[in-house]
Order: sequence, then C-alpha cells, then structure tokens
Amino acid sequence: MKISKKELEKLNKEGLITSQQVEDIISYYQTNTDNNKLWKRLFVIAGLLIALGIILVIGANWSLIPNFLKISIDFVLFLALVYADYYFITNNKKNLSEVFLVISFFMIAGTIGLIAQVYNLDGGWFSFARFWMFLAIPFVLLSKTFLINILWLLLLFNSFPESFYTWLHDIYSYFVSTLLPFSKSYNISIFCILLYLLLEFLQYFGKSIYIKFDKKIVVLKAFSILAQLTKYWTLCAIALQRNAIDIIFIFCLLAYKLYINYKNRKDKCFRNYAILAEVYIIYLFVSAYGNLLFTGIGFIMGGILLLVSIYVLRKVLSYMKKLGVNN
Amino acid sequence: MKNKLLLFILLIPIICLFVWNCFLWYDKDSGTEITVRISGYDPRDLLSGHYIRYTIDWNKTDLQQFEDKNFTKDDFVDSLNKSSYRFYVSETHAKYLDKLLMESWDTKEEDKKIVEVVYSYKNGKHPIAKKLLVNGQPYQKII
Repeated sequence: MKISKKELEKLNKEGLITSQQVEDIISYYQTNTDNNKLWKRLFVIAGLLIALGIILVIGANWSLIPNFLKISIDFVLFLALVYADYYFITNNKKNLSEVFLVISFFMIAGTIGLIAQVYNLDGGWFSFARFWMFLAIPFVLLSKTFLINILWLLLLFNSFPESFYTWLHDIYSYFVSTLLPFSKSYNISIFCILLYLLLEFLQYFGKSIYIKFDKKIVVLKAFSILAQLTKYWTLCAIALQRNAIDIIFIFCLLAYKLYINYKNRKDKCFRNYAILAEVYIIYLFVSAYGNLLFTGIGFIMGGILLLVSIYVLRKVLSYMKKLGVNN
Repeated sequence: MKNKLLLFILLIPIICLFVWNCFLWYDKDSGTEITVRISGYDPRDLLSGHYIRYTIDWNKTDLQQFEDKNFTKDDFVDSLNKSSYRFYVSETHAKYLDKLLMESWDTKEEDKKIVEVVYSYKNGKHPIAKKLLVNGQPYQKII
C-alpha cells in the first residue's frame, strides 16, 4: 500500500474523505497489490521451469550435434537472453525482466555444465559453485526475486574452499578447548551464545543496509533472513544445552524481546514471544524430570502455568490495545 | 551512458565464459595426444548429464609414448591430482557403455574390449580428455 491505514483514518476524521472512500481506497490497493504479487510469482515460476528445462536439455548431451555447434547455440541463446534482460529492464517491464533474469541466472550453470561436458572437466562442486556465484553477480544484483537471491547466497557459502570450513572448525575447537576456561559443555554454551549475538548483529547489519539502499538490493534482505534463520537454529542449540548459562541467556533474551515489543506496542510480536517463553518454561519442566511420575507432574504444572500465562497475557494485550496498538 | 553500462555488466558473464571456452578449445587442439587404458563405472548426475567415471589402468597403458614425448606418467598424474576422471557421453550411449564396462569385469582377458581415452596434453596444463575409444575406434562407431 502506498498510503497507510492510519493516515486514511486521520483524513477521514479531518472530514477530507468519507468512510466509504476510505474503504474503497483500501480495497483498491489490496486487490492491486495481491494481483501484482500473484503475477510476479507466476512469472518467476515460469522462468524457473524454462531455466531447469534448459539445464536438463543440456544434461542430455545431444550426440547428434557436434561440440562446436552445441557451444555456439548455447552462446547465441545466452546472448539473446542477455539482450532480453537489457531490453525489459530499460523498458521498465518488471515482470518480464524478472523472468529473463531468472533464466539467465540458471543459464550460467547450464553453460558451465556444457563446457564441462565438451572438454570433460571435473572440477568438483566447490569450483563449479564458485564460478557460478561470481558470474551470476550482475543478474543477482538486478533481480528482485527473493528465491534467486537466497540461492545465490547458498552458492556463496558453498563456494568457499573446503579449507575454509576446516578453518572454521579450528576456530570452534580453539574456543571450546583452549580459549574458554570452563568445562567443555559450558564452553560450547558460551560459543553458541557468542555466535547468536554475532548473527543478531549480521541480521541487523543486512537489514539496515538494505533499507539504506532504498530496498533495491534484495540480496541484502536475503542475507539478513539467512542470518535470522541461522540465528534461530543457534537458539535451538542453546535451548537444548540446558546449562545454567543457557537458561539465563534465553530468559534474558525473551525478557528483552518482550520489553522491546511492549515498548513499541507491537502486540503480535509481544504475544509470539510470550508464547515462546511459556513453551520454553514447559520444556524446562518436562526435561528436568526423568521418570513418568515426575514428567507427569511437570506436564500438569506446565499446563497450569500456561493457563496463568494466558490470563496474564490477555490482560496485558487488552491494556496495550487501550494505549493504542501499532502492528 | 547508464544503459550502455548496464549492457556491459550483463555481458560480463558471457565474455568470461567465452574466453574460458576459447582457452580450453586452444589447449584441446594444440596439445600432444596420449592414449591411456581405462577401467570404470557409470554413475549418473542430473546436472552434469551422463558420464563415465573411470580410473586409468597404468599397468596396461603404453608408457613408451610418454618417454617419446618428453614427459613422464607422474607429470600427468600430478597435474590432475586425482585418481578418477570423467568422460561425458550422450544420454543414448550411456546405457551401452555402462554395460560394456561392467561386462569387462566378468569376461576373459583375451575377450575383453579395449577401452581407452585419448588426452590432449600440454606441459603445465590440465590434460583434456578428447576421445573415448573402444577397440581403437571412437565409441559412437561401435554403438
């Protein structure tokens, strides 16, 4: 939507537009935005199908056509695609330019595959991913398709040499066995917490730069989301450790998130974090006891706690609504 | 000006791939030919197409050709730094070749088909597999 709901209501209160007009404007933008999203998705799916089709045709390795001709056809097709990208971008045809950018992105992989076939190269996955990732940069920067940007980031992480991952493992081992002075289990907990904080920073960093560049470079958003997903994965690892430091960290984190969302009047986020806190408490109850009797007691106490939490949460939410909600 | 820059940026990947292809083409055509005996199997890969993964049978390879052409077997092996290699074949030929290579394990030594790969080799460059020969002939002719 180009104009916020709040602003429309404000205009209505001022008497500049009627309530009917407010509703009409909202439904107009709603329909148009939904339609645009649907068309865009269909265009991207079409592009993906064509691109995967080209890769499979190349994969079949046509025996009737000589190598020179195969390569020539591939390059002519690629040139045509690039011209289509150029033509649709300069003529501001967003959906069509997305389709051709998606096809061009995969065409790079197809062409590398074809050259590997013709010259019988076997460089391995890492060098293939690295080469594809480098050559795809122009298309990724121009494409607004989220899927392509995520795929490119995954390629980026796959294009590091194997030694990079050995190096990461060495850092982890150094942290866990040498640098941190506690027991191994505590050292792993501290490492996971530090990793979580780093990912939180990376997520924030990606998001802020994405906003700074007027939301034009989608790969930054993709980076931020990938950092966010890894962050959640790390959080799960922290939750599963169950050392005192992990429990304290998760409670502090949940308290901080609840406070921030309460302060910013984001009732949906506040509710989600409150539910997460309840689930975590129940998990702690259940996992603290071993046999059936105590696990049963844990469940009952967890259930009671959940009911109390729901009551408190509903009270807080209705209080927040009274203060004025901002989703 | 902005449009020309956009076109140039979009053309960079094609230019890189084209230059890479030209280098490979030159190396393939200008290198010295070496024929090695192979043994192997045929796993399939959807993205790469059909290929034979083989190992070089150095015991049955004529090593005289290396001495004549002023390089050794070790140079060849070190530059690839691998123990198994790929030769891409078309989808239609893959099944037959797979069968042929599998059968060669069970047949008597004198009845076995001789499967070889011709490499183009230049000093200091990666050898490029040019042809797959079955009993001295390109595999397409045998099939």
